[in-house]
Amino acid sequence: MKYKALYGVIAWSLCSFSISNAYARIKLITLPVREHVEIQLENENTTIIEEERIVPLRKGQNDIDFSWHNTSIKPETIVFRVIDETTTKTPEESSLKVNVLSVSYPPNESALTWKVSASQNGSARVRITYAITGLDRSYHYIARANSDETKMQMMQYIKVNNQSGESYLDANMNTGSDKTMVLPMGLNETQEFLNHKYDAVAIDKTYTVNASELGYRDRAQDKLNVLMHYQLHNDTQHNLGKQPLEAGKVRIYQKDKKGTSVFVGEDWGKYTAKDDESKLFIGQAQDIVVKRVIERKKRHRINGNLYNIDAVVKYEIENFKDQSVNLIIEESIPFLRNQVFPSRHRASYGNSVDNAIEWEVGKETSFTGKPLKKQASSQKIAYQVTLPARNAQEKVIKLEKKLNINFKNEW
Amino acid sequence: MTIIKNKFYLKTIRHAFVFLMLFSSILFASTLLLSTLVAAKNIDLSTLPSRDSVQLTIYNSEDLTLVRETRQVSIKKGQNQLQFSWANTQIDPTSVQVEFLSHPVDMHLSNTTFPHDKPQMLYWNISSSLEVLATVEISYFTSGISWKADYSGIMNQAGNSMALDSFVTVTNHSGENYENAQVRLVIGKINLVEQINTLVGQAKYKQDKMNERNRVQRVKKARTMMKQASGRYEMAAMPSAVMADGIVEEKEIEKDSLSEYYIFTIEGTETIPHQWAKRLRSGFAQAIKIDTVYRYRPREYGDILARILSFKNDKASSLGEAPLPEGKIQIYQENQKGSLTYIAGLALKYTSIGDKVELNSGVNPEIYFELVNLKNWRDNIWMHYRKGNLYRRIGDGHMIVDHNSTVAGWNEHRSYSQHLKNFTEKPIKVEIRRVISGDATVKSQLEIKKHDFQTIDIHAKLLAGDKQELQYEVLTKKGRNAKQNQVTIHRL
Repeated sequence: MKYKALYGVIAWSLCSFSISNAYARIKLITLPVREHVEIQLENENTTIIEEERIVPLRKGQNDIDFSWHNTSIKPETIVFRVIDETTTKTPEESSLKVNVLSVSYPPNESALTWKVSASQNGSARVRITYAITGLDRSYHYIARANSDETKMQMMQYIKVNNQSGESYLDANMNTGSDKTMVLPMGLNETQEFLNHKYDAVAIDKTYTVNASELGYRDRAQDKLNVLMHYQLHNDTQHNLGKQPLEAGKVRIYQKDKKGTSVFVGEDWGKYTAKDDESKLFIGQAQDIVVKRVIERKKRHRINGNLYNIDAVVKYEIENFKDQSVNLIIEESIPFLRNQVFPSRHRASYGNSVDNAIEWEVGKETSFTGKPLKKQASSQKIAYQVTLPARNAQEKVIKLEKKLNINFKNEW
Repeated sequence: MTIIKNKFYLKTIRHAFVFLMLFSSILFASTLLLSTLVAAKNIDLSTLPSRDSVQLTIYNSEDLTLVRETRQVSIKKGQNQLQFSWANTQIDPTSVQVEFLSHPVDMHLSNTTFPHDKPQMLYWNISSSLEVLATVEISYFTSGISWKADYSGIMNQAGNSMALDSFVTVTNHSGENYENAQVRLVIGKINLVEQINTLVGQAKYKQDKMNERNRVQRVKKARTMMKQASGRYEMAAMPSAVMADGIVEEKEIEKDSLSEYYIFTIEGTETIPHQWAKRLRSGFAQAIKIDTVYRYRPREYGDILARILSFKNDKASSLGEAPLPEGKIQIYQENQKGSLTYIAGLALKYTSIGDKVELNSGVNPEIYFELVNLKNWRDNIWMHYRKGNLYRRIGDGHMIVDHNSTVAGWNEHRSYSQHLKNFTEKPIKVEIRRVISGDATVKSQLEIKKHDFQTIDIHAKLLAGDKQELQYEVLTKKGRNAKQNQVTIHRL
């Protein structure tokens, strides 16, 4: 009997437990429709939805249920605000006071209940704000360069992808640019639209070699890779500068002699603030040949294991194009030092003192003009060389430039 | 579910059975009644006194809640036995205590029995000199109830002021429904030598084994009863202050200190059923002054120039009433249309009264930040000659030419330029902290401050659209030249 009593207690406890786990949420709900919805896509990592609803309230305490089944709302971001409409309402209506008393989260449900107190019967305009995943935007660009690649037309597109599990068919969309638009977003739908069009954007086309960072095109022939870039300046002088350029893929086209657009390359454009500049890598130039060899390296012992090293790098440059171009030749100082003084390179592993390289430009350097200041640092030196076009006889002029670097106090 | 039972032997019932037996003419009935008599000493009659009040004191640093409940229990003169059971809950059996609030002098707890065959149950053997309706307080620790703080901040358009809502959320996974409970929340770190859920687990292991034997039967019974149940669980709570216009004000959360801890007491009572969570506003500050600074501190924030939003937990910020408990803060900013833009979801650390809150809201791509190493050189190079164990400095004029000599000490100079560009439309403040290892001297025309023996601070202010190059040189003594391991500042 003692056990029977015990079993009875256990059964009763279990039933109580089970019942408490299975709250049948029978409820009568008024479903106020969305009056206004805004989708804030300004933050590229987090999309915010703001919806306004008019909620009928009776005097006293009211429960407002909010549920988001099969959508990916982040519950910790939900904000409930009662909009103050004192100026737009009659004195009777504006005397409605609303307080949010608490929020309850039922078990195993994507839902919450606001307990709200109202001073009288009436309707309150509320704004519910929350972050949602699966609804995001991305930027991409189509650029059309002119034939001499000095200017281009640039179109900025925004693509909005809705995998959030909820449709927003009448929402104002704020994409982070200066525009707000109404864009119906159905379930699992993607929309793309032209956000900005920039005409006659002035660009600088550059050709760059750098044995360390960009490598060799043909190591057997000492030919370096020659990379082409468009330099963009996001300022009014270059017909940009109205707003920052968001990060995104840039596809570049150019018209051929028949007027047909040809795809010439693409790159990921980085975020470019107003008045800042950025570079787009568009491909490799095959008709500019730069050969790099270390013509000389000579060690001068100061004493014991202490040396000065004299190094000369020779560049042979040919432009097979029928137009003149500007070539930037970059030399990595650590890369060159390791080539001319490899014993030091081995010694440097695990030794933090050795990244500080003491060097100076030697007298045998044949580049005209000063090194480029923008690229200048203790780790790199760069010069610009103007390459003449092929002449009328299609003869290519071979230029020879030398860079003399004196490494000092090495051991 | 916790149950308390008051049981006693029913002599009057036994007498009734004896009376019936005498008048029975059927042997079968006599035998049956006899057998009933034999078992009669095990028949319990239990009363189930309900809770009169319950108080939850919830700690946020540990999975621990102190529950104190009062019940009215009928006590007879002499020996009494109270049974207390807590099947399917997270109660720590070692923590259960009983106190006699009424008649403490007349009642005495003789001993407590934990039956070997019934885990999650105990008997209190109580001796009483009175027959009375006594008020007892039962207290115990339970795990499974927790609370956390969270915050929602809305910055104004200018980004220099923020409205801050503070919330507390209580979540109940204890297995017990606590109705109309007074809720107190403790902020602070306590020491526990054993985790409550471990102690619960030991008791529950026995219970689970026993439960398994009858699992199928119980589930069947439970399902039958569940079908009969209907209606939503009423999340009742004692109403807060009702104003003259009929509106119920938000509950006050009283904040008080105790020893090294703070206690938030929620006004009135709350009902928090098992598996539910409830969130209440614990504070609101309309306009907190926000200070924004851009900081480079790789050790703390990684290799980024982090935008740090800061404010003080003081009265000037309409705060300062209590510490701000640790919790997540969601920061939004109002835009020109009155809508909100999401800034970041961040972790707010415990902040004492008067202390500063600092929130790292990440990188602003409109600030350009790059350190360029302009030039390096060495001097004061000393050679070591093994023969004679001599040291000579290069360039001193009395150098011995010896191919076997080695570099033994030198001074290394590195010049830097810290490039900063402010592409935003507001002036900004930048704070740079760098570690300079070894025996080093920092030379600059800038006002550089030493943070600790090997860390320097450089501060700068940039107007909207401004560009600056902050230049400095680091001289580090290496090898035998190094005498110390600290940085000194030399202003040029």
